[in-house]
This record gives sequence, structure tokens and C-alpha cells, in this order.
Amino acid sequence: MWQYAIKRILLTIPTLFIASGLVFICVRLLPGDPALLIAGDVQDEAALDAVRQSLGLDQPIIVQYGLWLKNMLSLNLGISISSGTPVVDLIVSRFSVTAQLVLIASAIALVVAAPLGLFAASRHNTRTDSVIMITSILMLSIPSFWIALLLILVFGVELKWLPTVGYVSADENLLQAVRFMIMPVLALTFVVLGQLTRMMRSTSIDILGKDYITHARAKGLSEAAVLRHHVFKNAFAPTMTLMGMIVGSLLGGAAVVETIFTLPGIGRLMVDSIYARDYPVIQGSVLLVGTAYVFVNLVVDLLYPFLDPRVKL
Amino acid sequence: MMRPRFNLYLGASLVGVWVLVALIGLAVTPYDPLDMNFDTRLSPPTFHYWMGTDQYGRDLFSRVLSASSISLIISLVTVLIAMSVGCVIGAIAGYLGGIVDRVVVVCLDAIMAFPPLLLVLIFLSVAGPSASAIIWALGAAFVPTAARVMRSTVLSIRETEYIEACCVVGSHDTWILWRHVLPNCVSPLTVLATSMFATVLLLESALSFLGLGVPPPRATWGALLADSRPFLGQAPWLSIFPGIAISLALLGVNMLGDALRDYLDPQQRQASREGL
Amino acid sequence: MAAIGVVGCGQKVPRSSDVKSEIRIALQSDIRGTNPGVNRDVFTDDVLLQIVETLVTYADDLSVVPLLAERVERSQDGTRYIFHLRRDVVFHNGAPMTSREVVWSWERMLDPATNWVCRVWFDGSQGLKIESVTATDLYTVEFVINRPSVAFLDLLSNLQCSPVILHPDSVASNGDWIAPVGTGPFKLDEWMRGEYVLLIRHDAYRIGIGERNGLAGNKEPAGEVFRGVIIPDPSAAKAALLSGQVDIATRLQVSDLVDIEAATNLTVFKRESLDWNVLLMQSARPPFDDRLLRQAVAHAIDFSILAEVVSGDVSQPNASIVARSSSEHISCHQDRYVHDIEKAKDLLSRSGYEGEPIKLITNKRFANMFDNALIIQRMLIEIGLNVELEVLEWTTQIDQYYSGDFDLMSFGYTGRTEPSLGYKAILGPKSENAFYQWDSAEAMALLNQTETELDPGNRRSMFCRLHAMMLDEAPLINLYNNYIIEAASDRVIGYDAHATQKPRLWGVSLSTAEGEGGE
Repeated sequence: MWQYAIKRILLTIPTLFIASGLVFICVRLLPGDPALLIAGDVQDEAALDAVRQSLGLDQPIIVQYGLWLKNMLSLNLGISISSGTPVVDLIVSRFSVTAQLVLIASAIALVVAAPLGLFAASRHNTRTDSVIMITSILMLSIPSFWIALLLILVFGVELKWLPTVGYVSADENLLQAVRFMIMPVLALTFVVLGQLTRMMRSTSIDILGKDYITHARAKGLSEAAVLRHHVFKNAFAPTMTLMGMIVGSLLGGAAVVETIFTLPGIGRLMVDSIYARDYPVIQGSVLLVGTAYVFVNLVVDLLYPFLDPRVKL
Repeated sequence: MMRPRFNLYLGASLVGVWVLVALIGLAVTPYDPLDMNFDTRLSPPTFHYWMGTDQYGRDLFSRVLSASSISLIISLVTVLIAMSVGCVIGAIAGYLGGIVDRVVVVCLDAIMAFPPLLLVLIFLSVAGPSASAIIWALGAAFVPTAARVMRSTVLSIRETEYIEACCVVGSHDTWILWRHVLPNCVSPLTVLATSMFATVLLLESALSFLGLGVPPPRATWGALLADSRPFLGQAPWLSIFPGIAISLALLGVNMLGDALRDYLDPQQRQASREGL
Repeated sequence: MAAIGVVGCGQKVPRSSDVKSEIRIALQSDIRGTNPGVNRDVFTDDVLLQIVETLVTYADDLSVVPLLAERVERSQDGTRYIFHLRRDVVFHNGAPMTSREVVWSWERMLDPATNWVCRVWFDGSQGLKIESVTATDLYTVEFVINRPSVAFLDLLSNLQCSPVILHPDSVASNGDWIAPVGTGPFKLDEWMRGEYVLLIRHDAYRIGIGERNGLAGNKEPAGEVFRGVIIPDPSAAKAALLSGQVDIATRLQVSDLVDIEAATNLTVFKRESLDWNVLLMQSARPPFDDRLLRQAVAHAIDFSILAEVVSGDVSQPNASIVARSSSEHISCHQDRYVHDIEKAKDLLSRSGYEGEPIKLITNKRFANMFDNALIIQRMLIEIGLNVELEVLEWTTQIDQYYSGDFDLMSFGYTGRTEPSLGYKAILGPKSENAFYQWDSAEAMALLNQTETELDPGNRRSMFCRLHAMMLDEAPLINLYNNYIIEAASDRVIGYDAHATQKPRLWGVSLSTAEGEGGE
């Protein structure tokens, strides 16, 4: 098993290597000149050249990439063209905001979805089950950014209960942090809840149809015990896998929700930096998000045998 | 069995309505979705304007209609492209195995390490915004997913069929594998297609929301939602109706996909036979 | 030229203990740096304006008045300017301002190593050259320039890269920039990148007498602490204003008007800015090398509706380079194209246009440019032009503006207070620089004359002639001056907007109801 684990981990390295190279090239294919953004108002070629030189943009691409790679290995991802801050500091602080958002939303969703899905499966073919099923499909069909807009409309604009913009970090003021995060978290939780409930429910239903469940019942185990000991454990694993994938993709994909609530998250940073042609930040943030995504999937893959005893590596 | 049928009926009807509306929307709408009328800006729903008007006096109902066509076409063509290209790649990788397979997998993983949003963003920034660019960008972003599914399907089929084929037929194993691969792919690929369709639609809306969708003044649902943002308090109908449209369309596709999956998944059919 | 945005983050809400005594203003973008005129954009200028000052600046009516100088003399031949400095100016570090610091500042700005963005305006590459800046005594500085320049004092007041007076302590001994030690009413206390900028009162600022007058007059700081909270998203800025998270917001949108005017605790300021919106037409290549086509476009546009819809009725149509809020905008500049669809169609049919598709470039970063494009497209389709929108990213659009690669472009220019500077932005040989819009030898010659013509009456009639020539030639179409919408909550008093769209934080304090500050 360790062999497999190590092989998997090693495989991620060339993947990330290629990914970073791809980003590097793509980013430089983007039309638009960062130097113009900085000094453009003044229309002077010499000034623009000076800016380009200071940003290192006058070197051949291979040299630039080599330099970046070398620096990256010593955790120096360069300086942001727009704000002058070290990229590492920037992406780490932004990433922690997104991570908070995504993890809290996913955790809440999981805590509600797992028992709910199990419950629906146990009431399979009754009206309760149908209601839960339809509700969960409905929830995962509604775009999170629409829910965000509706939440703002109801709680922010009409009722004025919650602030609609901004962010306070938890270590500054916990109560305020919660107030600012409620709506963004709700918007994400809504959709994830639907996805996880559906998965938990369908997996539970599959398991309930298996032979060993019939045997367990025949042995005299109560329905509750059957659900708890056999169904839940086995249905949980695929649900966890799904959650891992969801978390991984949300880490980069929550950009729209972050934009709506102006949260200083990494999704929004990536989008903004692409608009601003801030090459170091684009590269750094994509690298981080890509690594996180690969890492989360790796962890889920490796944890799978522990969660689902039927699977052997 | 009640569940899949219900899924099927509701899902199919929602999707059917969408397709119908989209087809109608291509031909005729109450007003030209691009026509501006400065005297009736930001009007709430009335007899003349069923869903109200936007800040330029354009009829929202007409715009939602025409957006339904565009969204449908973009999603459909994207899925077709992603599936065809992805399946070819996946089949080749799964079939040939060895070093080719390894290289392809690493490359696919590299692309999949990007959040799809980012891939499309970069692609569109390079290619410039246009309906065709979005389709290619989204298609390219989903090729790896299709390829991966195809590859694992081919691999599992190869496992089962190879043993029989190799000993019995010999030089015809290629043809037989080909003959066996395709039919067995239909089921997982159909399931994949429906879930991909939903994801693409959602992603396209998100892109439009961020301003990267089909260029204005044509609008997709996501763009309509984005445009509604500054007027959230003044004109909530601008946010409500497009959102309902997207949600219903996605609901239909998801339900249809669920019903198809239930139908095509043998485990599920087994369970239904046991009367559970 | 219009402003350029940068990467910004969501703002941190200030700690509750600070809330009572500070005044919060929403900033649309983080500042680029603290080195005036070197690492800048329009948002950086907004903040630095509170910290640093120039020898002369703009009054309410946009005429140039002394600020750090007490008075200015000009020699008869127009090549020598003598600035008599105020004697009561104190830098943030306590040192008094003398001619020494003025000369030091100018030498630094004109030194190529500093990378001062506007050096080219003064080093001869565009004609004007400052030959010398000398201190004739402790409070007198003399500038010698190579030829008379009517715009000279305007250039000294310019807001794009203000030639500010700094103390040498701003720079380290090896020339590295440290921080701006200026003469302004506020000091830069703290800069948390992406989050906020904190300004505190410069207690030794000279006592103010009289009224505020544009960017001059009584600039005595009334409030103690100002926090510039960075909120890049316009909807977010409005929400922050309405919910009281910020007290002042500049650069609000037209779509915000309904909500902020309905709010009972806000005062709304609406002005026409010096900036102007424009429709560019590339006359260097088909189809817009055809003057009849350009004129057809000009008559197809209903400028009143455009201005009304896009600016929320804040701005009126203006076909002139000279802004309506400028004192130079005399009656000849009111001449503009008549909206006449029949005439437009007639001109179109007489032109060489054959129905080929035309791309109208715009962007989503600046709502006014986008809205203008959207509406103009409809108006042009109405007369039979096959116009399509091309929405680019701002960075890409700037590229194409510079390279001249476009048919039609919805664009905006930052305001100039001096007409000649405005014309200079668009008038020039395309062979030299593709970004020039109007390539006319006759017009250029006339413009050159205005730069050295010292008689104001003559100058005015020259500009009138230029305007008439421009209307006839139609190299581009000016639409209207941009709008300024600002708002302040009743938690503060003393705020007012200015046509330069620069926030003025001096004279602003907490209203006495808060129990703090006040006048």
C-alpha cells in the first residue's frame, strides 16, 4: 500500500510541473502589456521600457521561466506587479479566506447531508424519500451565485440584517467574522448540501439492496443498527470522496461568490490578476490552487481504503 | 418503479420545455431583445412587459427567451466537442496502454489541476470573447473529464474481454475489442454527458456573470444576472426571473440525468427487481 | 486618458474601538505606491493629494492660483517665472519649507533616475524645457524656460503627476524612496496593502484663513483621522455607504443614484467632471477614412438621450474638447452636431460605405464607456450601419488604442484644465504615434500657436477655430463630460465635491452629534 501511496505522490510532481509551465506560457500569450498599465498614462516609450526591464519582462521566456522555477523552489514567488507585495504572502492570506469559506460550508453540508441521505434511503419509495430527493436535486441545480444574490436581496437590502460586503478575519473579531461570513457560507452550503445528500442517498440505497444487509436483518439486528453499522459506514466513503472533489474544485471555483461578497479570496485574486496581467500573481495563485486540488484528491484517494474496507489497494 | 419514472417525467418535461422555448426564442420573441426604449426603463412586470424591463428599456422576457437559445446551443455543442475529442483520446490511451497511456494521464491530470474557470478565463483572454471561443474553451476544459471516463471504461472492458478474446480469436481481437468497447461505453458516457451538460451550463453562466460570456448585447442567463446586480434593490425582477430560468433548466437536466443513470446502472436495476 | 484599475482585496472593517473617532472614505482601488508621480494612477493621486502640495494649483473655477507660493511673477517675454514662497509652510517632519527644498524637489523630478512620469513635459522632448530652477533667496525660486508657454502654470498644477514639493528626508542617502514627507494637511500614518490607508492630521499645518477654494484656499485639516477603505467593487462601495461602514464615497455609479438619493442620512453631490467620454473613429483606414461616413455617425447619435441615460442626467452633451466646467468653455464650444436621422442616412448613402461589418470596441471596466457603446450601437444600426460590439478587457483595449487598431472605440479621457493640453492628447501626426486621433497639419499649426500666444482673447478665438475645424473634420466625436457622483453621510460635515473629482478631506470633520471634533 505504501508503494501505491508513494507512486501517487511522485506522480503529482510532473503534473504540477507541466501545469505551471502551461500557465507560464498561457499567461504570456495574454494580450496586453503590464508596463502600459503601470506607466501608460504618459505615452513615453523610454519610460515603458524601463518599467518592462524592472519587471524582468525583456528576457526570453525560457530565462524568465527558469528564474521563476528557481525562485519557486526557495518559496519566492516574486512580487505582485499591481501591489508590490510578495506573492507568497498575498496568495497565502487569500487562500486561507477561501479555505475557511469552503471548509465551513462543506462541513456544515456534510453534517446535515449524511444523516439526511441515510434517512431518505431508509424511507425509500415513500413520500418522505421523494421529497428529500427532489429537494436535494433542486438545491444542487440552483446556481450558488443566484442564491448569493437572493440572500443579499432579502437579508442585506430588504431586511438589512446582515452586511453585504467585506470581511473580518476570525482572529480579529469572531462575532463580526461570523456576521460577514453567514451569507457566503450559506450560498455555498446550499448547493453542496444538495450534492452530498444525493450521493449519500443513492449510495445508501445501493447498499440497502445488497445481500449482506438482508443477512444482517435476518440475524436479528434492528433497523437502526443495520443503518448505523453497515449502511452508514459504507455509504460514507463515496460521499467523502465526492466532498473531497467538491472542496478541491471550490477552492478555485468560488470566484463568483467571492466577487459578489467582495471576500478577499483566492478565486477572486486569480480573476483580478488575470485582468490586471499581474503575471507573478497569476502564476503563484494557479500553482497554489492546482497544488491544493491535486493534494485534496490525493488525500481522498489515499484515505479511501480506510473509509471503505471493501476496497483494497 | 416510482422514483425513476417521476424523475424521468419531470426531468424530461422541464428539458422539453427548455428546448421548445429555445427553438421558439430563435424565431420570435415579443420584442427584439436588443431593442431599447428609453421611456420605459426599469419597469416592473406589466401587461406589456411580462418580466419587466431593464435599465435600457429592453424587455426582460424577450431577453430571457433569447438567452435560453444561446445557453442551450453553447452547452450542447460544448458537450459534443468535449465528448468526441475526449472519448477518442481516452479510448486510445486505454487501448494502447503503456507509455502512451502514462503520458496522456499525466497531461490530462495537469490540465485537470486547473480550476475549469481559470482555463476558460485564460483561453478567452487570449482568443478574445465570442460565442465560438467560449465553446472551444469550455470544450477544451472538459475534454480531460471525458477522456478519463472513456479511458477507465476501456480499461475495464479490456480486462474482461481481453482474456476471452486473446485465446479464442487471435488476430481479430482488435476488431472484436472495438465491437465490444463501443456498446459498453454508451451507458457511462450517457451518464457523463448529462452531468457534463449541467456543469457546462452552470460554468457558462458563471463566466457570463464574470463578464466573459457571449459578448453583449446578446445575453445569456448568467449575463442577465450580472447585469441585474447594480439594480438589486430597485428592480429585483431583473435578478429573479433569469435565476428561475437557469434553475429550472438545470433541474430538468439533473433529473433527466438521474433517471437515465437509474435506468442504465445495472446495480440499480438489480435493486428494483428485488422490489426494494 | 482614463484611469487604470489594479488588483484590490475586500476591505477589513476597522476595529470597533477606532470607529468613533475616524472618518472612513471608500477607495475604489489600492494605491500603487507613495512616491508621487513615479508609481501612480488616478486612485493613488486621490490619496496623495491629501499629503503633498504643489507651488500652484486649481481654484474652484479651475483657474490656476498660488498654493505653496504666495504669488507668482512672470517676465515680459514669458520665459522667467518667479515664485515667492509662503513663509508659514511646515513639512510633516517639522522643518520649514524654503527655496532649498523647492529646488531639491524639482532637481529630483527632472533627474531621469527618479523616473518621474511627467518628466517629458519639461525636458524638451515635447518642446518645453525648464532650463533652470534656482533659489534666488530663502523664499524665492526662479524658473527659466526655453520659450513662452501659456500652459506652464497649468502643467505645474497638473493632477496626473503633480510636481509636489517634498523634503529631502523622503529619500534615503542612496536615493531610495522612503516615504512622502510633504507639506499637506495630512500625514500618511499607515498603509495596509489591499486593505486601507490611514491618514492623520498634520498638526503643524498652517492656519487657514477664509474659505476653501478648489484645491487651494483654506486647507486646514478639521478631522483627525481618515481611513481610506479599499472597496474595488462598485456595488460593494454603495452598500458600504448605505450601511454606514464608510462615511464618504466618491466615484459612485449612476445606478447607485436611486438608492443613495432615497437614503435620508446621505448628502449627494453631483457635478460634471473634466473627464470626457468620446467615440473614436480610426480615420487612418477604411471605412472611417471617409469623412462623409464619420459625419453620418455624428448626426446619427442623439447626444441628449445618451448623456441623460448614461450619466443619470448629471451631464449635458458636450462636443468640445474643452470641458463644460472649465472657464474656457465659452459659447463657441457649445456648437455641436444636430441629431438628424434623415441627414445621417443621406450622408451614409453618399459615402462609400457598403454594409461591411464594423466593430465598436468597448470594455466592461468603465460602466460609462460600456453603456455609451451599447446605446450608440443601437443608434447606428438605426441608420443602417452594420455595427457589432467587441467587448475587450481594459488592458487589451488600451493596447489597441495605442496601436490605433480599431474602427470605432468607446473611450474616455482624463480631464485637462488647459484646453491646449486637451487638444494635445488627440492632435498629432499618426505617423509618429498611432494613438493620435486627429492628424491635420493645419490644426497642429494652430495648436502650436496657442501654446505661445500670451493674449487670452486671441487664444480663445484660436480655440474656437480649432473646435469648428474639429466639428467639420469629425476625426472623433466628443459625447459629454463624465459625471461625478459623491456622497457623504450626516456623520460628517464639511465635505463637498470638486470638478477635478479629487476628494478633499481638509475642512471635513465629524458632526458634533457624534460628540467628537467638529468646527
